[in-house]
Formats: sequence, structure tokens, C-alpha cells
Amino acid sequence: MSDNKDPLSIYSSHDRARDSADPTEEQGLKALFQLWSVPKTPARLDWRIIESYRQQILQGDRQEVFMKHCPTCQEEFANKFSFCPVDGTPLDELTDAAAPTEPARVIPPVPFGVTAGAASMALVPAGEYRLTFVDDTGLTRRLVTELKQVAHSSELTWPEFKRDPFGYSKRFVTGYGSLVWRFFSQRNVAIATSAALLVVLTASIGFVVYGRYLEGRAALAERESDLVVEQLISPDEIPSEIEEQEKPDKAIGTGQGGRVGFNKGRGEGSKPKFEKAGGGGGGGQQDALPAQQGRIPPPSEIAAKIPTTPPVRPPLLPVAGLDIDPALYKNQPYDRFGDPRSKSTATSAGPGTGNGIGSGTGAGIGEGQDQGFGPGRGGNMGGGDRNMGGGGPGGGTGNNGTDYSRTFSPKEVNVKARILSRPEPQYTEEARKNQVSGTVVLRAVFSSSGQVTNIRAVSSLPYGLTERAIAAARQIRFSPAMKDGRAVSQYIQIEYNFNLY
Amino acid sequence: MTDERLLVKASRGDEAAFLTLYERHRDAVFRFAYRLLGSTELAEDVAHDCFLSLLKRPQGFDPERASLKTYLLAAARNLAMKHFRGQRGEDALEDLASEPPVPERRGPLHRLLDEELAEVVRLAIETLPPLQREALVLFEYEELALGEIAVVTGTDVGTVKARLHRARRSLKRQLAPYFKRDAEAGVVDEVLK
Repeated sequence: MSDNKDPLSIYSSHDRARDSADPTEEQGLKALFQLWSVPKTPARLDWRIIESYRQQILQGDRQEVFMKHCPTCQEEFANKFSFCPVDGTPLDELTDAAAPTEPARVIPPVPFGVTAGAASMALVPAGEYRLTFVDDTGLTRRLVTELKQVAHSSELTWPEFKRDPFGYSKRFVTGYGSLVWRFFSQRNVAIATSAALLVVLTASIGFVVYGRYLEGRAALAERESDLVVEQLISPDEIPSEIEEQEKPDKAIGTGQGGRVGFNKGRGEGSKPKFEKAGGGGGGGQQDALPAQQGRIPPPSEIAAKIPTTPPVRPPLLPVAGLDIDPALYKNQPYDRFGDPRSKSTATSAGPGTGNGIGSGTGAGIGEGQDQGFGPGRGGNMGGGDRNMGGGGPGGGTGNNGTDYSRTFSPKEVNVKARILSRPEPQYTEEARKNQVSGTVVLRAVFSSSGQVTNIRAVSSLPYGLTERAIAAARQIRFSPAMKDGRAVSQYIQIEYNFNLY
Repeated sequence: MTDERLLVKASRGDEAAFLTLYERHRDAVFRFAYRLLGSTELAEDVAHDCFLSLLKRPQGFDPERASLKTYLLAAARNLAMKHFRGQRGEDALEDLASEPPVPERRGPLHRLLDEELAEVVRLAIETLPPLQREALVLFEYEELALGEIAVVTGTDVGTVKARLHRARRSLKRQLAPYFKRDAEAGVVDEVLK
């Protein structure tokens, strides 16, 4: 730009050469320019300008009279608007010059502080107790007035926002920030706020400390409880499979969530590992006699008091009871612990090992292993693995979880269905006339009840031959398939050949 | 406080803000108007109308485009051009190629007086076509940059350069007898002092 200020630089070299401008000439020209001075700006202009400005402003004020007023947002808008551009409220005509163009004149602003408090008290009749902040209309009105005043002085209007959003935001923060600061910088408010914060802080710290104290007490009680369990159950008496399990599962009655046998092996004494799966019961104490008749201890979730006067030696059943599902537990009409299935009334823990009751091993009851009840392994009642079908909700049935009501394929059954009689279908007249021959393939179910059901044609022939084949299939007599000694339904495919020769 | 803020305040009735704004740019506007029109009364009217138009239509000023001084000078220029059009017609404004007549000069004895020399300069500048004159005044007296002059006059920098060149060439031709002779006589040195 400095080059541009040099008069010579603005000319082309051609012009420069043509004019053959020399510095003396340029200097002389510049000096001549400086001779032409301008008279001082007349003072009359100042007066004219000021007068015009005042007239302009006054005219603007007069024009505001013809603007419209929004009763909701208390803003004024040009006469061309029928509804408030901010909130859509129908605008009022302001035909009277005395209309409240300035809210501050109508509602004298009451600043926050001592004066405001005094004004508030003056609004409340003597002896009347104002319960809440909302109930005190005077305070609410003053707050609204303050907010409106800030909005007015900071020009927080919708048109302003549309015109300059950044400036609007800045004025918003500045205006309301100064209002909040003015409010909280008052002595009384500052003291009250500090006191409230102090109370809240103290209460919070108190709650935290009290919570820590309760946790400490609970942990101490838990440690004492663990100590009692360890004293009651010696390590030698804990079944080996339980020992192999993780610590939470060693403590009987403190399983990791869920009821026994219901939560995918996360119950007591059970892990989702195949080799540690449970089910069934435990053994006796190598007595000559069979296990005595009696009731089984309650599930481990129910506190049990192990009787101290059992047969010869007290069975060392788990202190908290057997590891069985509480849903499967039923009180037995016996006054002592034993195997409820036993017929023996003689005092005996059974020929098994493991200090349980029965012929198995472990601390349970029955022929099985571990601390369950029954012939299986692990916890719970039943004949199978605890979490492999025998120890689940149907653990008592001991059917390995097989649903015998469904239809099996021939490969799944132990003994396939055997056809005893199979009537042949007859040709229809139309098929014979039309020389139709071929094979109809049907798929059906030989149900466990001896009926042929669910017949479907896989391959069909026209002129009624398929219907004839289905009718013949319905007349088949058979012996049902067998699985695990039970009659079960089985899928079967039947073919009927139709030949004319 | 910036001109923009002052203008916003002034348009809302803040008289102090308006006076501050006015005092900032009053002299520049008046000087420019005077040098364009050559009359104190006309310059006063132009300056007055210039500020009044700013008050009536403050949204016409766009801070993104130019400074307020540039805007006011452009307004003054437009008002002056309106005056020229009413006085001389459109052709006179655009007739850049026409060479103005050499102004009537006084006798050599009176030229040594500064006032008279200043009058000669004034007359020489006044004889320039208005478009050349405004470019010269803005460049030499108001010391605006070429870009700013282009904004004020509503043209491009190249046109401004061309007008300045023609104006200076014309003035050199008219004033050559004075500054050459004065330079020889050492008068210019005295003037510069």
C-alpha cells in the first residue's frame, strides 16, 4: 500500500516516460497542492447536526407509538406485524402515546438486596406467614421484573438474535451473569449460600463415613462367620471336588448368584465345567446296614441344625444343608435325617463312604456322589449330572433331559417302528384309463399311540392315486418305536408303486 | 469504542455516542465535500446530509465492506455528484477525456502571494472533471489508499489510477508556469518552509 501512496507508482512506465516526470516537478506539484487549505468546519454545522439528530430520535420515538405491542413478551414490533414474531401472540395496537413503551416506567425496578427484601416484606401483611417462594407473588414479580430488565437493557430480543446470534449470546451471558453476581455478592445471600453449602458438605461427609463404618462392621461379621464355618467343617471332610472348585464355591451356602441348578451352573458347589458337574447324593459311613429312613436336610439356602444324635456316628452333612434346589425340597415326616426312600428303620448311615447317608460317596444322601440327593453326581436331586439335565428343574425325573413326547428320527430311537400290516392301494378308474403309473412317496409319523399321523405327500400322482396312497397309509398297523424303554413317535417315509402290468 | 458500536448506540438515542462519532469524522467529510464542491455552504449541507442519512439508515453501513470513514466519504461523494448532475448534467461527469480550459490567471505580481497561489491551485483543481477531482482529493488530501478510493467511488483500482494520472497530467500542464518558475526563483522552498 505504501507503493500506492507514491504518486509515481500508480502510473505505468509508458506514462512515466511520456510525462518525463522529474522529482522536482513532482515536489513542486505537491507543494502547490498543500497551499490549498480548507476552512475550518463551521460551528453551525455542529448545531445543525445535533438538532437534526434530536429531531430524528424524537421522530423515531413518535413512530414507536404506532408500533404494536406483544402482551406476552412485552416487546414492540413494527406495525406490519399482526402476530408476535417471537411467540405468535396477537399484537396489540399502541395508538395512545401514553402506552407503556418502557416497562421500567410502569413497574419500577426493584433491585435485589436490602431494599428488595424490605419491599418484599412490605407486601406481606403483618402476621401472615408465606410458606413458599412461589406463594410470594411479590418476590416472583420482582424476579420477573429483574429478568425482563436485563433482557431489555441487553437487547435480548428475537430480532436481535436473528441479526447477530453471537452478540446476542454474549450479551445474554454478560447480562444474566452480572445479575447473578449482583445477587450472590450481597452479604446476606453470600452468608446463607455458604452456610447451606457447608451443611450439605458436612452431611455428605457424614454419610460417607457412616457407610464406611457399616461396611467395616459387615466385613468383620463376615470374617467371623467364615471362621465358624471353617471350625465346623474340617478340610478333610470337604468333598474333593468341592476343594478343587474356586473359593466362593467351597463355602457351602455362599454360591455366586442364582438358585441351585437354575443358573447355568453358577449355583452352589457347581461350576459350568463338565468334570465338576453335580447331581445326586453322597454316601454313608461304611455301615453294614442300609441307610436309615429319615428326612433329608433342607436346602443349603435354608439354615439347618444338624442333629447331633444320629445313628452311630453323626453324619457329617454340610452344615447349611444339602446342595439341592429349594423348589424341590419338601419336609419329610421324619424326626431324623436319613434317606426317605429307605425301608430300614435301623440306625445306620449306610454302607457308603464320605460321611453322608446312603451307599454312595460324599456328604450327600443316596447312591450318588457329592452333597446332593439321589443317584447322580454333584448337588441337587436326581439321577444325572447336575447341570446336564439331571440336576436342573427336572432333576427329580432322572431322564437326562429327554423329551419323549417329541417325534424322533429313526436314528435317534433304540428300536425302530415295525410295520405289522400294510394294505396296498387300489388304482382309480381314471388313472387306469389314462395309463398313469409311478410312485407316490409319503412322509408320516408313527405315533407312540399306534396311529399314523401327519401324512404328507412328498411325490404325488394324478387322478386320485395320491389320495388312494394316503388312505392305504392310514390303515398301516405297526408297533411303535422305542427309546429308553418308552414308546415314542417316529418319522417314516412310505412309497407306493402304481403299475398297470 | 468502535465506530460500529457507537453507531448502534447512536441509532438508539445515545446522543453522546453520536457526538463522538460525528467528531471523529466531521472534518474529513467536510474537507472532502469542500474540495469537491468548492463552497463552504455546499460542503456543510453535504456533510449534514451525509450524517443524517447515516442516522436514518444505519443498516446501510456494512462494516465488512469498508470503514465508516470510507462509507461517509462515499456518501459525501454521492451527494456531491448529485449536485454536479443537477448543475452540469451527466455528460460532464463522464467526460474524462475532455481537457479543461486553462483558468484565468492573474498578473505575475500577484502570484507571489500565497493566497493567490492557493486560489490558482483551487481553480485548477476545480476545473478538473468531477471524477478526476474526487480521485485526486481523496489521494492527495485525504490520503486514502487506492483500494479505499475505489470503494468510495464505486470503481476498481485501475480506473482510479487512470483518473489520478489524467488529473495530475492536467494539473501539471496548468500549473507548470507557476511551480517551474517558482522553483527557479526559490519560491517553492519558501512555501515548503
